[in-house]
Parts: sequence; C-alpha cells; structure tokens
Amino acid sequence: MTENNLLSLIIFAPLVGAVINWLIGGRLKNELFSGVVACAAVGVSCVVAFMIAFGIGTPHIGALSAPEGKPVLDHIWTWIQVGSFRADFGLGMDRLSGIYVCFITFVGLLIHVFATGYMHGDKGFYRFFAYLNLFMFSMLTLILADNYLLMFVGWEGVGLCSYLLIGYYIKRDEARKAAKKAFVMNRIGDWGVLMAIFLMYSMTGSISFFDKTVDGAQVQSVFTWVSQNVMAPESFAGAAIFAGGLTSIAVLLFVGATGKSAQIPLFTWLPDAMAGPTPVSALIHAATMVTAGVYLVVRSNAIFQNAPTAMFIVAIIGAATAIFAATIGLAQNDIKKVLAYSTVSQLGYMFLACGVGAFTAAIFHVMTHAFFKALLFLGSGSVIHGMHHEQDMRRMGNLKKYMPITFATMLTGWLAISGIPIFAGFFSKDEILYKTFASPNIPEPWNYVLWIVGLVTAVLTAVYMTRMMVMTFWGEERFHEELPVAEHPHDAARAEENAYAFGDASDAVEPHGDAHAAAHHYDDGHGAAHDEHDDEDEHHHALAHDFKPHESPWVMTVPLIVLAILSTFGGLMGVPYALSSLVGIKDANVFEHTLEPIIAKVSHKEAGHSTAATGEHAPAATNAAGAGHAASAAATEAAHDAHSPEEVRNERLLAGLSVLLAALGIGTGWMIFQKSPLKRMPKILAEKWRVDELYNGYIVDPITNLSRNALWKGIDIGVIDGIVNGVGHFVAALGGVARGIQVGFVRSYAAFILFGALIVIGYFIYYGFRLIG
Amino acid sequence: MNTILLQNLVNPNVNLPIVLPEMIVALTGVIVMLYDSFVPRQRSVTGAISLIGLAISAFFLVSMWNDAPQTGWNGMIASDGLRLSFTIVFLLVSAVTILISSVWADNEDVPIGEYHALLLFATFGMMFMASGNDLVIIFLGLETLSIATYVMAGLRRGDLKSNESAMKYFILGSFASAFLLYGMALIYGATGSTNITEIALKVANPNFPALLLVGGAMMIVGFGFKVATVPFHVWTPDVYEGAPTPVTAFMAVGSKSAAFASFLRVFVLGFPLIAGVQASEFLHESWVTALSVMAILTMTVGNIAAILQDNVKRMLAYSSIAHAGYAMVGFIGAGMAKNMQQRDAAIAAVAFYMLTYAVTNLGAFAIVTLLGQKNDRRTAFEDYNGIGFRAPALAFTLSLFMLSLLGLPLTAGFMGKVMVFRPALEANNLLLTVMVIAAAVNTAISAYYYLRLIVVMFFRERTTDWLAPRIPTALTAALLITVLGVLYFGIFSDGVIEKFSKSSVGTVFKAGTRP
Repeated sequence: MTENNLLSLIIFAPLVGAVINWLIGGRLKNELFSGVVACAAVGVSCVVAFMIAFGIGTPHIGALSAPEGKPVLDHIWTWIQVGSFRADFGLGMDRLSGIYVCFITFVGLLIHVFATGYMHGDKGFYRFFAYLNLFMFSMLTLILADNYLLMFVGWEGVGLCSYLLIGYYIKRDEARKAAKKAFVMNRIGDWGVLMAIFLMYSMTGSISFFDKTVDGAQVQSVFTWVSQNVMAPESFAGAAIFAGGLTSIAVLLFVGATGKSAQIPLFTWLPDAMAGPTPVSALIHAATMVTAGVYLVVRSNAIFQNAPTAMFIVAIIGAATAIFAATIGLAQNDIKKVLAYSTVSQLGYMFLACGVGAFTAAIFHVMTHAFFKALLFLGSGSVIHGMHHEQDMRRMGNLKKYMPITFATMLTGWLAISGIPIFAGFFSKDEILYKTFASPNIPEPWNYVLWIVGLVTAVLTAVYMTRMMVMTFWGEERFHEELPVAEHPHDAARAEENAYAFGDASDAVEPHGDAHAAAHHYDDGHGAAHDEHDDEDEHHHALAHDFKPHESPWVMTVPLIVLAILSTFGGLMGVPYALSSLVGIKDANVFEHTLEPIIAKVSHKEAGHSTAATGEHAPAATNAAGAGHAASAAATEAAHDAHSPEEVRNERLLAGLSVLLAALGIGTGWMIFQKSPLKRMPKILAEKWRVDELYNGYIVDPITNLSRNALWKGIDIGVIDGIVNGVGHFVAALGGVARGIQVGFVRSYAAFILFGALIVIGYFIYYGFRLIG
Repeated sequence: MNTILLQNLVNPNVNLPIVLPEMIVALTGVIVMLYDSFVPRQRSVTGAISLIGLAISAFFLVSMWNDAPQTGWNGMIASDGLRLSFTIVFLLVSAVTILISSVWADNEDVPIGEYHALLLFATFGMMFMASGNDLVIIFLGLETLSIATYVMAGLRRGDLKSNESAMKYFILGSFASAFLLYGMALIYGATGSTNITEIALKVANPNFPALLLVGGAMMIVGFGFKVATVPFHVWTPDVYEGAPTPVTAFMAVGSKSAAFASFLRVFVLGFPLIAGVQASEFLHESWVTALSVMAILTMTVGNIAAILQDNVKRMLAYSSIAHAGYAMVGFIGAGMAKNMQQRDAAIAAVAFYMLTYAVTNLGAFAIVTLLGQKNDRRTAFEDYNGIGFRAPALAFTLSLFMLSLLGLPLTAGFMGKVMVFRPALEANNLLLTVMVIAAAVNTAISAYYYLRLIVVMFFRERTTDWLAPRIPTALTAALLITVLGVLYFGIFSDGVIEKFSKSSVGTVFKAGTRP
C-alpha cells in the first residue's frame, strides 16, 4: 500500500485559499491579492496532483503508472467508526481519480487565471474567488475521497458551491431563481446517492473504494466484495430495479448522476445555471462538476457491470438526453445557452458510453470535453466581455475582425466538438459511437438504435455549433440591431405564475430583449473598467454608435490558447488501434513516448480494472450467453489486444461515416446560417420542448398547492400545531406541580429527600426480605 | 495476627508516585493560601499559581497513563482507567473555572485568594473520589469537596441569595452525607471490609446479606444527592441559582463528575453480578432497576422543569439534572455489561460524557458569567433579547454550546450521548432499552429550551440599551478551550475514547445473566 501525505495538500490548498480570500481578501479588497491567492492555491494543487500522478519527485511510482491500478492513499483521520461501520477522512488516487484530478486542477487553474481578467472591476471579486476555491476543494474531495461517504461530502459541497456561484449576482432575480432551482434539482439526485450508499453498506458491509489497512485493521472495498460474492450478473428485468440488489444500487446511483450531470429528467437546471458568471459556467457547469455523475458511474463500474438493467437504463437515458438537448441547442439565441445545451448533450454521450460498457471512452470524452467545452465557454466569456455583456448572438456578427485570438481559439473548439479528425472531440466521440454499435451487453437491435441516435446527435451538434460560430464571428455586424420581439405582456404574467415555483423566468420561451437584457446588464458591475461610463447605468441600446468590440486582455487569451492547443491535440492521447494502424502505428500504447502517457494507460487501466473486478468469474459469465460484464471486459480487451480484422474494418468504416456526417452537419449549418443568420427556428425548440412548463404545471404547482392547502393549512396548523400547543399546555400544568415542590424551604426539601430515600430503601428492603425469607 | 498488623504499620505500602497528582494540587492549594495571606491585595497571581499547579498535576497524571492498572497504600488508592479519565476531567474543569472566575473576581470584591485555595482543595477532594478504592477515602474526598463548595457557594458575602444558597447546600448536603456514611457502615458490617475490591469478592458470600442491600440503598441516596438525581435533586435549582455563576459551573460539572466517579466505582466495581449467588443477584438487580427508574425520572423532570424557567442560570441548573440522567444511562450500561471489555468501555463512555458535558457547560456558564454582570443581575431570558447581532461572536459561541447540550451531530454533546447510549442498548435488556428511548424523547424535548435561547438572542427585539461587554483575556482563553473542545470531541472523538478505555481495577467479574 502506497501512502503519500502530499495528497491532502491537493484538496487543502484551495481550502486555505478560500479561507484567506474570505477573511483577508474581504478586508483588503485588492484584486491583485485575491487573484494571486486563488490562482496560487489551485496552482499548488495542480503541481502536487501532477507530481503524484506521474511520480515526479515522489518516493513511489506515479499513481497513473502504478501496477494493477493500485491507489496512492492518504489516511487523514478516522472520521466515523461505529461498530463495523467505518468511514475515513482518507484520500486515494488511483488511475481514474488521477486523471480526473490532473485535468480538473489544470483546467481549473486556467479558468482561475481567465477569471481574474473577466471579473476585473467586480465589487465581490474576493468573494467570487473564495467561492471558486471552495468549489475546487469540494470537487477535489469528491474525486479523491476513498469512500462513498466522503465522496458524498464533496458531492454536496460542489452542489453548495454551484448554488453560491449561480446566485453570485445576488441582486438579479433570474440568478437567484436559477440557483434555487439547481439546488433543489440536485437534492432530488442526492437522495438517490444516499439511498444507494445505505443499501450498499447493508449489502456489502463496506463503503470503501479501495482495499486498505487502516490502524492495523483490514478494510475491504465494496468492489472486492462484489467480485468475491456476486457470481453472475443480475437478471435483465425491470423487477431487478426494485429487488434491493446491485441493480437497485446502480439505479439509485444513477439517479444521483442524473441530478449532478443534468440528464433527463433532471436536466433543466443546467441551462438556467448560466445566470452565473461565465468562468463559473466553464469551470463548474461544463468541465468539472457536471462530470461528477460520470465519475460516480465509472467508479462504481463493478456494480454497474453486474446490473445489466441499470446499464441499459443509463444508455437509454444518455442517448435520449444527447439528442433531446441537441435539438434545443439548435434554437437558442443566447450564446451561453447554446453551450449549456451542448454540455447536456455531450454529457448524454458520456452516459451512453457508460451504459454500453465503454467506461474508458466515457472518461476519455469527459477529458476532451473538459478541454474543448471550457475553451468554448471561456471563448464565449471573452466575446461577452468584448461585447460589454451582450449575450444575444443576434446582436453579434463579424467578431472575427475585432477578436482574432478569441476567434481562432474558438475555431478549434468548434471543430473539436463537431468531430473533425485530429481535433480532440473526434476520437472520443467516435470511440463512443463505435462502442455503442459493437456493444455486447445491449440487446439487439437496441445497440443500433442507440448508435443511430448518437449519429443524428453528432450531425445536430455540428449544425448548432456552426450556427453559433456563424452568428457570432461571421456575417455583418449587428451590434445595434433591434431584436425582433421586445417586451410583451405575456412575460410578466408568466413570471408571476412561476413566482413560487422553480421560477424559470427564462428568456428563451419567446425571444425578447429589452427587459431581460437590461436585467442582464444591470449589476454586472464588472467591465466597468473598460467602459468610460458607469456600467450599471449602461443599456445595450445605448451602445455608442462608434462602438467597437475589443479583444480581451492577455490573462484571458492565454488560457484560451492553452485550451485550444489541448482541444486540438488532446485527443491524440487516445487514438484507437483501428485508426492509429492507418498511419502504421500498430499499438496505441506506442504513443506514450510522443504524447502524455496517461491516457493510453487509462484505457489500459480500465480494461485491467474491469478484468480485475470481474475476472474471477469470467468463465461462468461468458457461458451465460455473454450478457454483462465479463463479456464487456472481454470486448474491451479484444478492442485493445485482439484487433480482429473484421472489427478493425468496421471501426474504420464507422469512423469514416461519422467524419462524413460531421462535415455534412457543418456544411448544412454553414449553408443555412451564412445566408440568413437570424433565421427563425422552430418555436417548440426555442421553447425547449416546454419541459419547464411541464414540470411546473404537473409537478411544482401541484406540490405547491398541496403544501399550501393540505400540508400547511391542514396538517401543520391543524394537527401539528394542535399537538405542540397541547403538549405545551400539558407541560405547563406539570410544571405547576414541579414548582409546587420547589417552594424554597429547606425543611420541605429535606422532607422530600427523606421521602425519596424511604422509597429507595424500602425497595431494597423488599429484596432483603426475599433474601432472608 | 499482631505481628501481621505490626508489619503493616512498619511497612505501610507507601506508593507516593501514585498520588502525586493529588499531592501537587493540595500543595498548590497551600501555597496559594500562604501567598494570599502575605500578599492580600493581588487579583490574579494566585490564579496563575493555581493554573500552573493544575498543569503540573495534569502532566504527572498523563505520564502515568500507560501504566498498568495498579493499587497502592494497601489497596486504598487505585490508579486505573476510571481514575485517570475522570481525574483529567476534573483538572480541566478546575482550570477552566479559574479562567472563567477571573471576570467575576474583577467585577466584585471577593476574597480571590481564598477562592482559589478552596477551588484547589475541592479539586483535591474530587481527585480522591475518583482514585479512592476504599469507602473511607471516597468519603474523605467527598467531604473535602463538599465543605469547600459550601464555602464557595456563599463567597458573595453581601448577597442574600448567595448566603441562602450556601446554607441550603450545607444543611441538605450534611443530611445526604449522613445517609452515605450510614450506608458505608452497613456495607462494612455486611462484608467486613471497606476496600471495594474486597467488597466485590465478599459480595459472593457476605456475612449479612440483608445489610448489604440496605447499605446499598443508603449509598444510592448519598451519591444520588451529589449527582442530583430525582428525587434527591430538590436542592439543585436554588443552590445553583444563588451561587456565583463560576461556582455554579464548577458544581454543575465538577462535583457531579466526581460523584459519578465514586458512584461508578462503588456500584459497578464493588457490587458486580455473580451468577448463582442470590445475594449478589438481588443486590445487582435492585440497584440496576432503582437507578434505571431514577434515570428516567431524572431526565424527564429535569427537562420539563427546564422548559418553564425564565432564568438562564436556573434553566442550566435543570438542564444539568437532565444531563445527569443521560450519564446514568451509560452508568447502568456499565453495570449490565457482559464482559470486562464492555464494562470498561461503558465506564470510559461515562467519563467521556462528563468530559463533553464539562466543556459545553463550562463554555455556556462562561458566557452567562460575562453577560450576568455584577452580582449576576442579568441572567433572565429577557436580558438576552436581541443580542445576537450586537455581539455576534458571543452569541454564536453560546449557540454552539446550546446545540452541543442538545446533542447536535458534529458537536461534543452528540458523541457523548452516542457513547453512553450504546452500552445500554448492547445490554439487550427491556428496561435499559426503554431508558434509552426515554432519553431520546427527552433529548427532543430539550430542543425547546436550548433553541429558545438562540431564538431569543437572534430573533427578539431589544427594547433597552445594551452594550456588548469587553471580553477579558482569561475568558477568551476559557471560551477558546471550550469551543475547540466542543468541536474536537464532536469530530475526532475516537482518540479520546480510546485513551479513556483503559481497564479498571476490579477483577471480580463473572459473566452471568440476570435471572
């Protein structure tokens, strides 16, 4: 067992940064100080994370290359130990968490640096960075926790930080409501995680991720228990969900994942969360927190692989979310909303990958997505910054002339997400699609259905991203354009209607500008330094006639450039055999010597991991008609090791097909939107399939009514208050008796004691007589 | 026979190191007294001397922590888990009390040197109550403690309430001591020994079994008075309210823990259950049953009466009665333990409970002292109206203590409750389970009056002027210690519990189930 106490530094450095910013930064109100503290804190985490992950300057071999994926552990303290229940405040970095920690700290660092430029001039600068650091602490706790309970602490922590940061512009109604909505939606998911942990403990007697020895006691991990005690996967049937076995655990875990990772049905909070500052959207709502659900599923893959029903559900939900969100993304006009729906859609891909058993591909996509989506978000932030907080793409256009660096970097992001070869998104997305097509554990013809859905989504992705790019960077300048529909009475009524609901007074139901845009602008505070006049009084329509967008300062463009490089080449870390062999490289592992070694090892590790988890009963399971985990492990291995010619041919064919489709999507998008960038999109899409209205009408409103009329007025006031008051009166009456005793005279006290003594002695004497008699 | 006695006289098994902590405290008391008589105008020197003495004593105590359980002075003194863990609580209580009382001593004209000396002598008595393995030593310790506290309660000579408090405490205390002493005499009569280890051996075959039972009953009365269990609690509210607040804190925490230490030693270690011996079975069953009923009554009466109080000090007095009830749950759990490990774990749980209760309650009393001003005039709930945001540090700290008294997770109070309820549940006995349920219900009831103080502080409007008091350094130190204690014992309780779980002297333990 490898121990390294530096591991705790990774999580505690951001915490220290948050505390310093909160306590000292709040008094100094110095942007330089707050920015440096926050970035340095994350910088320390990042450096330490890479050191431990790669074994640079550490006494042990790096976590990413440790044999058999053995974790580097750091037992900080024993948190709870009651009976046989044990939860440590302990950290563990194995290959999975190692990858996560590396990209989270690195992308996080870039976003922190970017934010120092973006938030420049904001009154709550220190508060923003304190929250951002606190978020890093929670996220790293989530990832590095060595058991489910501590992971849940981080899980809740990121939820809290997300709430704080979405509602950062506290004076904006929209932000407050979005924050509340995100929190409530996440709570629904958290319920699932908690139930899963309870069930897991009652079943396996452990909540640990790793086998370890603490204080001389042997701790067995959940997954070891599963591998030793589960002989065959549970049956593929709906009843298994409610049987209280591994399938139930897996489904409950996935409920949590749908909340945190914005999957159907709990996805509606993520687009609203764009009310937060853009670096937050990039960090939390694109690159890190939302992928926690994927992490949870992949971490628990030993459980999922024994629960084919749950796997199937995950795949279906993932695919459905992917295409559903992509269609909505087509019709959004707010640049951040497009990216938000795109995020939901890409997360759908990741779950699709998990569902078909391609956990490696899921993590690969998580990482490449973190690169290009962070890039796109930061790019959009740069655009918004340059446009003085205009977010509506209908009033942009031809920005490539004014913001060349932003344009060039976002170009790579666009190509990456659309799935053009060489760029990062291509390899990961293609791998997911191929694995879906060839999935052994999804019953036919469902794997083909899912694959087609994935392909269609890929086309749609290319279309909406092209639309976004065209509207923003090409075409004519529309900075002073009046928007089609201004304020309308309907809006006010709706807002009121939703006042006590989740309050999604979102702007895209009907395109409107004035009121909302003004609200967007009001209180944004930052950017004031760039404007000659006070930002708070500014109004979009008051953009000067000689207004020119400007390129952002270097603190914002440098992170963009770094991310652009990663988005371009990051995908080469995991080129599948079928494609690498095209250029004559036989083994994907050969890439180690030219590229970063971690990713190749990830795929290796995942294969090794699932084999290790399930290998013991592989023969039995293979006999069982290849359903489930062993077969998928075998398939994964086959993909990496066996490379049968037929498979290689298939994979190449499919890859070619997806490239073709991506090109088709981009072409279509270009044709349509280059000509008429303001083309009206189908209303139902602009209204997001009216899901929010559906939720409000069928869930939120009934609950509100029930709570108000039955629970509050009926049960609370009538029954509970009645009981409480009744008890109160009763106690008061009893107290009168007690007071009667407490008269204050010593003689009566003595009498009382004597009386009590007589009873006690009498009771004992009764026994005494029994003894004698 | 004579020669043996003579041998004992010549070679009386002197084991000085074993009583070194006690001796140091006593010596410090004497030094304080002497210093005060020569330099009468000092306000803080004796406090500093006392703190140093307590620290040295604690040092020697901790240094004997790893020794095996042992006895000395012909078996009259025991050094085991019970003694060590309780004694460290006493030393902590004493030190924090000195820090708290610096406020009071500055505001009022009290003979501070005398007070410190009395406090140290009281602590000395408490320490012998924990280490005494002989009824005589325990009684001596108890009287030393009592006489010192009688005087301390009446230290505010000009105040009628303080005088009344001291007088009532003295009269009723003597009354209860008489019961205790008589009980001890009867036990001696029944077993022919005052040594608890020997009594435990003799319980299997007593000279006069019936006397054993009556003696036990009498001792329950005596200890019950000190611990303040219903129905022997009647003195508590008046005495606690009248005594100066720091002294109240000391009595509510220190005397109570000390009484628990002796109570545990005499009953759990002295009256074990020996299966098949009727006298032992009867004695055991009767004391467990009687104490269980008393525990339930104690919690319930304490809580219900606390709800009705309008005075914070009086509320805390009743709350301390309720807490004695909770601690008794662990005590009875120790009595019902199935083996030595369980017994020692349960004893450690009670000690840990007293530790958590000590830090929490001392902290609460520290703030009450500060806000009470001269002569404790401002201790009504009304006086706390709306101070929440005017003195946020104080108000939040006090809220933390209230939450810990209530037993909210992550505070010491929660871990304390968990630890004492567990042995009672593990006994698998209907009466004990009922007792734990009663304790849980009572905890819920207690939320009313603990949260009430928080509500009053933060949500009530204040009509009169109020200036946040300056917090003196010594009090800051006391608050720091207690806040850290509350959080530390709430979150990292394992280490402390492990340290406390040392085996106790008392080898008579024959596993047996009750008939």
